[in-house]
Amino acid sequence: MTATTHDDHHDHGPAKGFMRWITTTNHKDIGTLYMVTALIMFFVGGAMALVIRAELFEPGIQYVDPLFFNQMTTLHALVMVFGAVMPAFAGLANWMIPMMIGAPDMALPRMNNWSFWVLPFALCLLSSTLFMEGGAPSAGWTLYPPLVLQGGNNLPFAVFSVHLLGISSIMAAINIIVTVFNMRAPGMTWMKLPLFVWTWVITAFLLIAIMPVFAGAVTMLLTDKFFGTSFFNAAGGGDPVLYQHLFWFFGHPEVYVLILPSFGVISQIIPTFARKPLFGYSSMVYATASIGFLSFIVWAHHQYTVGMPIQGELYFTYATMLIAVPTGVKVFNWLATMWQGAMTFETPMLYAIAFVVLFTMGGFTGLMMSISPADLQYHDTYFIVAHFHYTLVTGAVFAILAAVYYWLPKWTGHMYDERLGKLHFWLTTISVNVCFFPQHFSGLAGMPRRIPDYAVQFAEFNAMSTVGAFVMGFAQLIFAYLIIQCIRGAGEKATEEVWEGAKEHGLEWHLPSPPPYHTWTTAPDVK
Amino acid sequence: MKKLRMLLAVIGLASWGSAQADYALNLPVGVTETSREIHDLHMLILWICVGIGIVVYGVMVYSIMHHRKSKGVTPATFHENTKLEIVWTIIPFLILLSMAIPATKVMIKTYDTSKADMSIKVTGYQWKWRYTYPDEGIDFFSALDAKSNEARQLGSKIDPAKVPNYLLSVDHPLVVPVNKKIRILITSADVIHSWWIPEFGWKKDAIPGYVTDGWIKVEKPGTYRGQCTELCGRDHGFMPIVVEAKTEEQYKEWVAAQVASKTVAAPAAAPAAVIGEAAAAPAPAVPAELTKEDLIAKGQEVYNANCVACHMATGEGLPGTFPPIKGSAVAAGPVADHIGLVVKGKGAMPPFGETLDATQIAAVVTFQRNGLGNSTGDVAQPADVKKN
Amino acid sequence: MELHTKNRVLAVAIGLIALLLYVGTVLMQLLAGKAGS
Repeated sequence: MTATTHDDHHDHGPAKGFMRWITTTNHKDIGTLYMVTALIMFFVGGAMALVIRAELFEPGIQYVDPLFFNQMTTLHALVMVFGAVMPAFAGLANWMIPMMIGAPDMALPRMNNWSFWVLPFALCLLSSTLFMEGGAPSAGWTLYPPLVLQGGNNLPFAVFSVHLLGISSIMAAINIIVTVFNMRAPGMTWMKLPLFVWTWVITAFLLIAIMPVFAGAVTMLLTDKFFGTSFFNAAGGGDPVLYQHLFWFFGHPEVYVLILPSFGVISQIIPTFARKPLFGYSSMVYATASIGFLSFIVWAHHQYTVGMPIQGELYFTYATMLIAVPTGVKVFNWLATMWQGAMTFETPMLYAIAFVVLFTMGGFTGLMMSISPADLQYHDTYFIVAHFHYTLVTGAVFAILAAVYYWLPKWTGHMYDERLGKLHFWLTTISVNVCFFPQHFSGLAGMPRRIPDYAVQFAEFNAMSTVGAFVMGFAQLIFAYLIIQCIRGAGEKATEEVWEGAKEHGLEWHLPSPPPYHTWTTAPDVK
Repeated sequence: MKKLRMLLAVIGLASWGSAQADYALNLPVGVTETSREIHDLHMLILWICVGIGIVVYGVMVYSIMHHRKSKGVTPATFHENTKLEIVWTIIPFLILLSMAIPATKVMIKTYDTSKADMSIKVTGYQWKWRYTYPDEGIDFFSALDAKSNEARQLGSKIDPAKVPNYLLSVDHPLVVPVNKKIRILITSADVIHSWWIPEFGWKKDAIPGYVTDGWIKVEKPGTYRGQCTELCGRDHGFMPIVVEAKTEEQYKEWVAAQVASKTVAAPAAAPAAVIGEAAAAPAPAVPAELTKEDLIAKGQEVYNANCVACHMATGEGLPGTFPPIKGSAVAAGPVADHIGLVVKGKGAMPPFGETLDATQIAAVVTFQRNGLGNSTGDVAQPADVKKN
Repeated sequence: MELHTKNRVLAVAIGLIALLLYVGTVLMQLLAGKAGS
């Protein structure tokens, strides 16, 4: 049942040297490229966050010009979303989907190579704006006009970067859809697919629908600035709020792009460590699909203060509140999976449990924000910042960390150092709460977001938040060290199953650790 | 278990802490009916979420404590229950309904700007506010107070704690009467801003070319402070809002004093704008000929109020970010181009044609060309300033 | 149909939808007169 056979004459193994990485069409290699890029960009984005938090440690301006501060907040978000989280999930998809469905590789391996290599190029283009006259974009990652049009040289570079990032995601999404539709092993029916695959298929549909709209919106920014159009300029008959609608039509499903694969990862990990099947498999699939669908019809909850007619405000309030239902269903199903299991708490499980607790907190604040009259107070304050960091850091990032701990022994063939893993977990979890929990209070107390300095009554919470941020930032060095040690083979050899009972929870645990360069060249027998 | 204990500890600490320090933990109840109702709605949702959290986290904690391999349990094998799925879909839906109904009521009230006793127009600028009372003919700008502005400069070495209402005080606050329903009309002259006083209960975006609105009926005299809440450029954090709510008699006195002096507050001299119009540039001042000395003196004032934050008091700017004026090509080149740059702005530099009148622009250009280490000897007169 | 043909047909079809959405986003606004003068 193992993958490569002796008489597979095409299998010469990977090319040697660095050309291997440039020309590879192998899903495992491309997965690795994505993950390494994501890890590097996580530190780059993290460094920007530390610049922000350093300036916010005390009232007054100590270190950076306010314009540079705005560049940091803008780039921090763009780098984290497009440079760290999305590539990490794309990397996980590339590594795991073919192995999980019994396919030898992705459906379009050469397009897969381009999906990746466009990415570092796009990120370099974006980062290069830091060194231009006028600096990097500083209008926030949302790039609202008219402000963003004051940016100077950075605008065309930011726009081209977004175009390329979009192309990368669209190609990856196409590959995932085609692979799962066309290349499942016989017997691997849709309702037998691991949840990670389901969540990524739904995510892929979201990406196809939204990235072109984002690309269109930023193209219109470009033409408004350089080619005399007035899409977003009232004097020419246009409307700045039109941009917002287009952006958030992309932007809201985008946050579900960031969280649905997270849900998939958690749905793989909890059953394994509870030694129990996932509770409510079909409900989980339907809930994910519902969330995916609902994500398209709620976008203007980001625009409650823009002066929409009340009918619009009320509709978006109700629709947004509805998303809590399928999301709650998922949380309950995870709990039911844990219930009467026989749990152990290795690092992947610690992160998965922390995800359920802390992402749910982000869900609660999200529910509060969905209520449009209340949001008239919360909007554009640190309450919002707290919400999305809970959902994105203790949500998406924790899921990525959990996934890496879970699958690293499979990829490398060696166990990581469990004690270091637990240290990383506790340091990160405690510091992330020290960083972001106080921000709920500063937001409610009246602190706006995207400001480099603040009135003295916000000082205590900001100081706390900065301390948490710095501990969290440096704690990630443990993670990087641990990965490097694991790749170098410092730990004990990993078995095929790695985790007790894992064979029942996915085809990947029926492959050697590490798996051969080509796997499932003969389709597995799926019962 | 550990996570829950930690969470409770943080909340406990914060609650205890709030009794000690003067920082706030929660939304203010505020001084309008809207702010009160929104505060109550917020508390309702918060307690519902806390209740749900206690149940959900309680189940989790129990499970983590008892359903662990180290206790020697055998894992169960059940993996679905349709009835349960239906129950835990319906119950949350009903809980949402219980939130949606009060939310709708509050929203309808908050949106109803009809039957107002008076109106005030608010216009956002980079980086200050402009307040216009159309009926009384009052019109003035409101910018960050000078003491705060000085303290917030990079490396100022001034302790913010020693500045009263640091970053929350202005030179000319908005003044309103209590117990009158006031319709606030909001727009912008450049980019999107947002007008927010937490104690009034709402914020509204200021969008160039469009007018949004809201209403307040302030129930208590006092001073209320807020900030711009939509990223609007470099000094987004430095354009606060201060509203003084006065009793009926005090308000009437204030109005009378404003109308009598008819000197509109610096930095622009502008007549009242008509409600509903997109924010217009201030009317051009009468292009009188001024002496070089007068222009330079006035120009220094304008420079200090408008240019110093980026171009610095020395005129040397910030290398790599803000170009210098001292020894610059613009200051040495044609006067008309220099004026054009100030009027139209460039990149992160706002178009000062929107906020300064011709006399101020002529003065600041003259000052820049004869001070800040420059000595071209050039003079710009108000008549030279073309604003289209 | 061979697998690799099936893959390419589906990929191109989805790609065309993405392209349509991109062009449509801009075109929709042009047709609505939002491009101004």
